[in-house]
Amino acid sequence: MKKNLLTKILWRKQSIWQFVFACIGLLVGLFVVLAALQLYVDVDFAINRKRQKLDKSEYLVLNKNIGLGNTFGLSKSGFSQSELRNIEDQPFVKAQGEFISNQFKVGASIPQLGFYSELFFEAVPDRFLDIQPDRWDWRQGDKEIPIITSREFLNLYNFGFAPSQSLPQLSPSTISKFTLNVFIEGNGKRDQYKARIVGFSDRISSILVPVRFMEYANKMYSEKPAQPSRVIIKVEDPSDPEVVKYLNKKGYQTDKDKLKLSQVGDAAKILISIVAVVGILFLILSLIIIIISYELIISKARDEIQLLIQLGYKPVTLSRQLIIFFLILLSSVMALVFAGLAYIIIAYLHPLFTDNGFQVTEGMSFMVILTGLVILITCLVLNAVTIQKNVLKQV
Amino acid sequence: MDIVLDKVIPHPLLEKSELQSDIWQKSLIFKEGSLIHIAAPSGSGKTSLIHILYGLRKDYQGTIEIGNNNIAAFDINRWADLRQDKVSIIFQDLRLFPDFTGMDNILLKAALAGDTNEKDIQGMAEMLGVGNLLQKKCRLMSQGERQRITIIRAMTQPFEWLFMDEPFSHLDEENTRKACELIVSECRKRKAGFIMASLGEEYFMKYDTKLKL
Repeated sequence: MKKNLLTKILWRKQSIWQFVFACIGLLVGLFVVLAALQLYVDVDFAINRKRQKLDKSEYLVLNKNIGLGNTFGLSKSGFSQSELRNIEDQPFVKAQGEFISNQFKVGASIPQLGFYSELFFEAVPDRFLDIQPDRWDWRQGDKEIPIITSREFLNLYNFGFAPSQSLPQLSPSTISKFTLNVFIEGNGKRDQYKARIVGFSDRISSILVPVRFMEYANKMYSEKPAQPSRVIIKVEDPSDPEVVKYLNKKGYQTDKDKLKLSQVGDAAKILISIVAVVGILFLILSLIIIIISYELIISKARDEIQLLIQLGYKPVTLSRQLIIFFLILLSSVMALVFAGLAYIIIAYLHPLFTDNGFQVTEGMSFMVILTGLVILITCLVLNAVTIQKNVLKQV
Repeated sequence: MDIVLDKVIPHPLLEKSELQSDIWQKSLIFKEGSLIHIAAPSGSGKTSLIHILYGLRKDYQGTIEIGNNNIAAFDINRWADLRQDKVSIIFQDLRLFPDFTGMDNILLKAALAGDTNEKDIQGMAEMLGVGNLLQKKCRLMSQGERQRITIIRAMTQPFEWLFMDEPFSHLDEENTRKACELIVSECRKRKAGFIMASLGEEYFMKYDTKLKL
């Protein structure tokens, strides 16, 4: 009964809407800040994990940017000898290897699956491979060509090609059991070989055959000498700005997500931070409005407060009455923000990450929860202290 | 608890030479449970005295002790404790919340004592003839009706002392008598004392001490 009456006395002259709007502002600000923090944490985690996964070494595969000139046959996409030497000369390049690509037509089929496709081959020096399968060596006369393909290609097959062609999905171990028929045509000749996938690379996105086979086949089935269209280099630190500068200057691309990843990650983090700052400003502004609104209520209720004190009420009792309203609003805001954020994280944000091959931590980051609570407690305490000060001022 | 005054005089009265008062500048004790009447002509500081004793004013010289404690040292919370269950007051200017009903005004005070027995309040209101006014907003009541609400309000808490400042100024004789009855009965229940300050009227009560301000 007393609480009801006190509330009536103290709030009589003040419209509640000011508070509601300010609290909506608080809600928005808090949500933005926490969402940005969660995103930051997720991006950071995902990128670090991906970087680790993408193989602890520092290998980059370079190719030239493809432009219209290439389409019209006016410029070559291969690296000339001088270009290759220039790359090798760069201080950040620890080792360099050239990709040799096929200069002949090649297709492969897996009879058991009824699968046929035109293909391409590439070859790199063994020392640049991230795996060393048992049967990698090939000599002229060998019946089977060992093939290393990229794990990404297997994913592409399993999740893209196979379903659309009603073909079965294959695990790495299963696919290595199949024998492929490989058809090579060029220079007036046409031959069939057997091949087998003996390993999967995380480093190189390609269909790799041993260098010796490639050199043999190019000689046999083609007359054109070719420039390497891709180069693999080993660097100390792929996120070294010198690397990026050189690549940009030369117009080279690297297919290594690693490089882009760091840049994208950093750019994303900067953007997120800006958003977070905006959120914080929102928050602070809303809090100020709430504090001022309270100041207004209290000063408007000066006579009432004085009489209540004369009747025997303690200032802290009155302050408590005033802040309870804020506490309720704040708790609702907190509940809404956390619930909404949790839902968005679980239903949208994290699936977005995992669908794109990134790892995330489960649910809401602990940092986010902690930050949210700290912000809310700070708002509460700040407000409570100001209210008490203002009440005492009236007496 | 006793109330002890030692050479007390409010600052505004300092310039007045030739003060002939039983209270100002004197040393006296109001023993607990005493019924005290203070006759105070206009300008003698009647309301000042009541307000000083109740902690609403601090502009005085001298020392006042309530229950062996110097009230000059009381902070706002100490006064609140006192006003909740040791000292009750009937203001001369009533001091009600005009936009609230009689009952709500009374309950606001009663709630502090934890005692919200609406039946008792109703009973007192019936006794003073304002029983049917409890749900009326004070703004819409007459001065006399308001004054009776104020009196009832002062009766809804425990107290050892009741301070009254012209408590019946708007009441007719019949209502004054009933009010006196109520006050005396409530004070007796609590074994409390009271200080009644008026222009001179003693109304329908018996006193242990009569003083001139």
